[in-house]
Amino acid sequence: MFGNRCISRSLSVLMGAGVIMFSLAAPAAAASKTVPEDLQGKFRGTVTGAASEISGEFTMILQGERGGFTITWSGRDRIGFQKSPDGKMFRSEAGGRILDGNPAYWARLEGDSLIVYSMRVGFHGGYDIYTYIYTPAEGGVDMVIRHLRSGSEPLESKARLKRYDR
Amino acid sequence: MTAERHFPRIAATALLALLVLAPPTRADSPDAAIEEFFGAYVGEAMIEEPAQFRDIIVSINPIRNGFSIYTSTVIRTGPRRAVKDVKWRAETQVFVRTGTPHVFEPMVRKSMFSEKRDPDLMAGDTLAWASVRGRTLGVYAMNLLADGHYELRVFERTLTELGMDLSFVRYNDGLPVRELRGSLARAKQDDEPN
Repeated sequence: MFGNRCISRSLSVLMGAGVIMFSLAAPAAAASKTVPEDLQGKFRGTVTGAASEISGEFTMILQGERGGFTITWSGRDRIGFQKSPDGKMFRSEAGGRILDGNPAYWARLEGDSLIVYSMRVGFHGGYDIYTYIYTPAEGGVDMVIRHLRSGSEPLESKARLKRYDR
Repeated sequence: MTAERHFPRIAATALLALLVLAPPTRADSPDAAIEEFFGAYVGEAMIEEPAQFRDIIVSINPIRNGFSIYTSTVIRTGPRRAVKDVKWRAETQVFVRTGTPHVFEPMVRKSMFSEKRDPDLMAGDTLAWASVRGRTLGVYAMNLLADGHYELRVFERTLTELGMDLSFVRYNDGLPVRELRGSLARAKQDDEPN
């Protein structure tokens, strides 16, 4: 009798531990899937188009991390993104007060694509918004850059970035 | 003969005078002071699709360390105003200077129950600001939607000889989804008794 109760309690403890382990492991597994594997790695290519502030040779390094990812663009600082509490987008804590000229970054997934945004209040108080769209492609990723800023028509540039880390 | 000899010098002098006296082009024009926008303006604007006509009154006034914009809009669907479905709205926006030249931020009224805090774009707050660039006073409002799309509303008022040109564009994730353009005349204060 006592032995059966003891076994039953042990089973409950084991099941409880299993539930806890599963609940801890599940978010980690979900986090690892936040950005498609095909978009993670080191890529480089040549940007052409009307968004002239970004042209020529361009590199992009994207690393998936628990609950988010980091991205590094040619010669610029690494920017970290974390999934929002509702899981619908990624936010960056980088920057400071936007009206003082500091940039704001955020991102979202749409289908196979990762869309990264950079926004700042530019010189003379105008808006300056870049949208980077990354889509897996043969041998790398396709990148589309859209630039929306005060006093100008929307501009667009493109590049096929080839993977160079494998 | 004498006139012919002097012609190149006269032409060069005239050209130099033209260059010096000609008003600068918009690209070269210095930024207007916010005081140049102060006044009342009356006019109309139009949205093309679906066609909407708007009668607009704008009044821009100084406040301490900034300015206010009052906008009254009558929204019509046809050329006549006195029809059953006519709509009207009015709003006043108040902006104060920031530490950055040309940039103004919405005035936040102090409350004894809450501290002033900056809008958090990432948390869903509206980021609004205004700026003067050339002859244009821009008022901007931006929001991040819950799914990561962004919405940007751009309201620009450009000084003209008549008064000002109006332009409003709402962008959804970088694409214009609503546009309004109009023209307003600077109005004089009417002090005559009725």
